[in-house]
Amino acid sequence: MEKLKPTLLLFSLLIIPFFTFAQKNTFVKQLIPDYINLQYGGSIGYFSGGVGYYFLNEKTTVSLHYGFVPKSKGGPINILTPKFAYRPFEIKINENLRWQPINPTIFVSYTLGRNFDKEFDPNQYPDGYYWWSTALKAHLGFSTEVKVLGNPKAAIKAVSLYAETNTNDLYAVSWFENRTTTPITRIFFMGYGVRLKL
Amino acid sequence: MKKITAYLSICFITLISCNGVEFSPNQKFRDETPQNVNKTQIEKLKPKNAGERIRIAVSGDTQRKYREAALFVDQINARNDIDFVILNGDISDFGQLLEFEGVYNIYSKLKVPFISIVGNHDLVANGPSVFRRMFGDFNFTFKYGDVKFVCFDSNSREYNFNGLVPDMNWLSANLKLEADVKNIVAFSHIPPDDADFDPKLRPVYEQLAINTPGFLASVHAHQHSPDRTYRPNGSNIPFIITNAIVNKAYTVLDIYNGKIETYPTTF
Repeated sequence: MEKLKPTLLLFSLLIIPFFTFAQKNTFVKQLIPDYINLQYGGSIGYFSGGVGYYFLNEKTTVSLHYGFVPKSKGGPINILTPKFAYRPFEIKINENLRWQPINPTIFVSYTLGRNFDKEFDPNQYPDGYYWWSTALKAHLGFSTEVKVLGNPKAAIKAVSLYAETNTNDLYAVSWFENRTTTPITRIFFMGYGVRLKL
Repeated sequence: MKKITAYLSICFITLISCNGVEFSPNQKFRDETPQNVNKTQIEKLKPKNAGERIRIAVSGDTQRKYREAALFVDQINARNDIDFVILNGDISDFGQLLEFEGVYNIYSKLKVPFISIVGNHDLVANGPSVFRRMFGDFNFTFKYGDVKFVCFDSNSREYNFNGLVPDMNWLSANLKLEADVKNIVAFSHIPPDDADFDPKLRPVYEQLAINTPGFLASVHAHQHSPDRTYRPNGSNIPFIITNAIVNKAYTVLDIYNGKIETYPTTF
C-alpha cells in the first residue's frame, strides 16, 4: 500500500480541482470531466477509477483510468489507461432509459513497475531479441451500456451500467497463429462498470 | 424492431465471447490457476525399479504453438513406452498467465507426468511469479529409478549475467551421488555454449558436470534447431541440445545400464 500512495495522491490531485473550482471559472469549467467512471476487471485493474469527456453529441468518449490489482488477486499491479469509445447507436427504451447496445472501444494500458518497460533494455539484450513491450498493451473492446437519466440539474445527471469484453495485441497475435484450433472467444475477457454523468 | 433484434444478437455475441473477468494480462494468478504442478507431477511418477530402462520424451519451447503442443501430447499418448515428459523451458512466449495456463491445459492431458523447467521467455514481465506459483522452484531435483534428475535455471541473460545464474553453489551441492542413485542427468533451458548462458560460468559448469561421478548428460533446449551434441574438454560426457515443440520435434532419451542414448523424433 505504501508504494501506491504517490500514485493515489497524484490521482486525487488531478481530480480535486474539478470539484473545488468548478463553478467559478469558465476555463476551468471546461476542464470538469463529464463523467466519473468506476470499473471492475476489464484487464485494466481489479478495480479502476477514471474521468472522461463526451464528444460529438455524446457519441464518443475519451477517458483516463487508474487501476490496481491487489496482491490477493494476482498483483500488486498498477495500470494507467487512456480509453476511447465510440457509441454508434442509442435506443430509447422509455422516458428515462437509454440503451447503447454495442460500443467499440480502444484503449492502451500502461503497466507500471520495475518488471515492466515500454521496451527491453538494449544494454541487456541484442537488437530484436524480444520484439514486444511488457508495459504497453493495445486493447480492443466492445461494451453494451444502459443509461438511466436523472434530473439534469442534479450533481449526478445520469447513471450508466455497462459490460465490456476486451482482448489485447499479444493475445490476438497468439490467437491468430492458432486460429484453426483455438476459438477466438478464448482471448476475450470481461469487465463491468458504472459511469456517473456530472 | 428488426433493428433491435440485430442489436440484441450483437450484444449476445459480445457477452458470451468471454472467459470471465480479467484483472490484467500481467496478473500472477487467477482463482482457477493450478499450483505446485511440478510437485504434483513428480508424485504421479510410476515406481521404477533400479536398473530398469528409463525412457523420457524431452522438448522445450512450446511458446504460443498450442496446436503443435496438442499434437505432441497426442503423439506421446499414442505410444505407451514413455515414462515421463520434460518440458525444457519457454513454456510461454510473453511470460503471461494465459500462456502458461494454455500450455498447462494441453500438457495436463498427457497420460504420463510432465515436469517443467523455466526458460528465458518465462522470466519476462511477471513470468517469474507466475512460474514459481504455478510450477514451483527454478532449481529442483527428483529421483526416478536409480537416476537423479537435476533441473536448473540457466537463463543468465535474464539476470543480466550477474554471475548468480546458474547457481553454482546449488549445483555443486546437488550434482552429487547419494544412496540409491547411480547416475545423474541435468536439464536446463539455455545450453552452456549459447550466448545467453553466462560465459564466465560456462567452463565452471562444464567442468563440474564432467567431474561429477555418475554424470550421464546435460540436456538443453532454446535453439529451435536439429539435435546437436558436444563433449567439452575432451570428455566423453554428452551435452545435448534438443529441438523444439515449435518445430514439431522432441527427443527420446533412453537411460539404461549407466548409458544414455538419444533418438530425435519429429511429428
